[in-house]
Amino acid sequence: MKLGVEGYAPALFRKIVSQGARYAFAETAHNLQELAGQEISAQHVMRLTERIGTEWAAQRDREVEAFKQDRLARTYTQAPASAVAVMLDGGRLQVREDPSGPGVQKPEWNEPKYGCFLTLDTKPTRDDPQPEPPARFLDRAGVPTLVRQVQRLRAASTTREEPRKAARPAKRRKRTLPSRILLRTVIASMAGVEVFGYYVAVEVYKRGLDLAPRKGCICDGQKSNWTVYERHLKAWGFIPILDFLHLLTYLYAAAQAASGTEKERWARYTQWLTWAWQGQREKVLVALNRACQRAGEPPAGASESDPHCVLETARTYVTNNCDKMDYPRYRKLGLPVSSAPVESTIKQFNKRVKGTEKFWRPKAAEAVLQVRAAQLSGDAREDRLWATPRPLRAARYKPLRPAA
Amino acid sequence: MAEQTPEYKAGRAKFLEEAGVAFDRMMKEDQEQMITFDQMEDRALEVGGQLQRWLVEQCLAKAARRKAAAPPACCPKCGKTLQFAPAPKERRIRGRTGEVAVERQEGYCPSCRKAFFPSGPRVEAGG
Repeated sequence: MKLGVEGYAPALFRKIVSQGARYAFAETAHNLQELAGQEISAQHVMRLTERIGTEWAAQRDREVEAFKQDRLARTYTQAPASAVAVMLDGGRLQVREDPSGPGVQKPEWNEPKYGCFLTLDTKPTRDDPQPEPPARFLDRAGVPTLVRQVQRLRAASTTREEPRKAARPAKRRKRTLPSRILLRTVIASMAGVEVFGYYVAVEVYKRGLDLAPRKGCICDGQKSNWTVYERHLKAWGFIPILDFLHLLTYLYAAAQAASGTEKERWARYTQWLTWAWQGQREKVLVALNRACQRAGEPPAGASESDPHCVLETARTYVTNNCDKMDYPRYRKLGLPVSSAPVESTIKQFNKRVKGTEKFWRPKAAEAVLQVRAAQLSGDAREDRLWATPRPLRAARYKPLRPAA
Repeated sequence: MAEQTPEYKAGRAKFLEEAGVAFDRMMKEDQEQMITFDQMEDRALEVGGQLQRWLVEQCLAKAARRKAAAPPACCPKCGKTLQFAPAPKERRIRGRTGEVAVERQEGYCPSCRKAFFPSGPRVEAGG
């Protein structure tokens, strides 16, 4: 009958856990009472969600072991015929000491890691399909907002955000292109980069993404992302691609930090951005070197926002990632140049796990991330996981009296 | 079409009786409290829920009888035959239709010192 020891019918049990991974536990308990007439405490929702998430995490770890021993089976029998993309990034959530007494003890920020695995409906082309940068990257009014948005995603969020201006009435934007994403699956974990690398490798292998004809790994400049790439994805032939939006923010900041009038600074930014978009990396690097030389050495004890430091940071960023900035080639291959899908995936996770009042025990956070990742994956993964037999659990530990 | 055994026929008759009670509760009893749409809907949910729970319990009882006739189950860990209490144990399971009683034979493995709710010769997932 697939009844667990929890005292809930499987369908109701799934509803509870499913809601517990989407909303705060107290909110879930309230919603279940209000919408389904089911009386359950927030604490119990947490317990049940954590139990299922932990079971799924254990199953994932078994798959990693099987992968290491070359025994893991692929989920899909056919390799993707089009392009695929792996996008990795880190998020933020607050953790607390575990075990600890009541209340939040030793809170600190932690960086969970997220991976987004996409099959794309794109075709390779002989010529660059978009040789000129998109208009919104050259929109004088829009670029500062775009830069702020990207920087906000990267910010630690430990500080209170500045109050936003009242939003302009939303314009109905015409969607010109259909979505190119055929399938998205998602993984998330609190594990370190070493272990997370294996989770990425397992997901790629299970989905057969390593067999795709065109494949790219798109990340920002964070070192841990590229460590995963070097250890697991490079050997499979994934092409490393630096997220263009992050590069844009560095170029914009550097152009603003360099001397000159507002008009000159904007002209400098558009020039650097166009070079970067067209893959003329050497020109960008030479220009940044020149700007750094002109600015001179940063004064002792200069802050991060000091113009010298901003220029130096941009130069280091471009130097370190120069080999991942051949954007015309990536576009010809039909590969994305932006890691926006993983950023939006992180936003979906953040809605559940990040908040000023949310302090997770690492184990509970890991469990909730597993359930949420299954929900966000587009391959009916959640259904499959629920259909998988759960580990045997003893009904109770008190022995029965011997039969009469 | 299910086989028309005496047990089946008795069950069906009992269901019709239960359904009749539900219908009377809906259409005859306390009609002065059946004025607004919400009142009618609440009553329908109440009697319908009772009927749903009754049906689930009948199904569970049938499954329990089937299992009782099966060979004794073994411990899923060590494989030794489980000890069974003389009477089945009642568990309350909360589902979408409300709380229902499930009678299940609890087996105890003296070697592993653990109790299970086996579904037959092999133990179902989740105990």
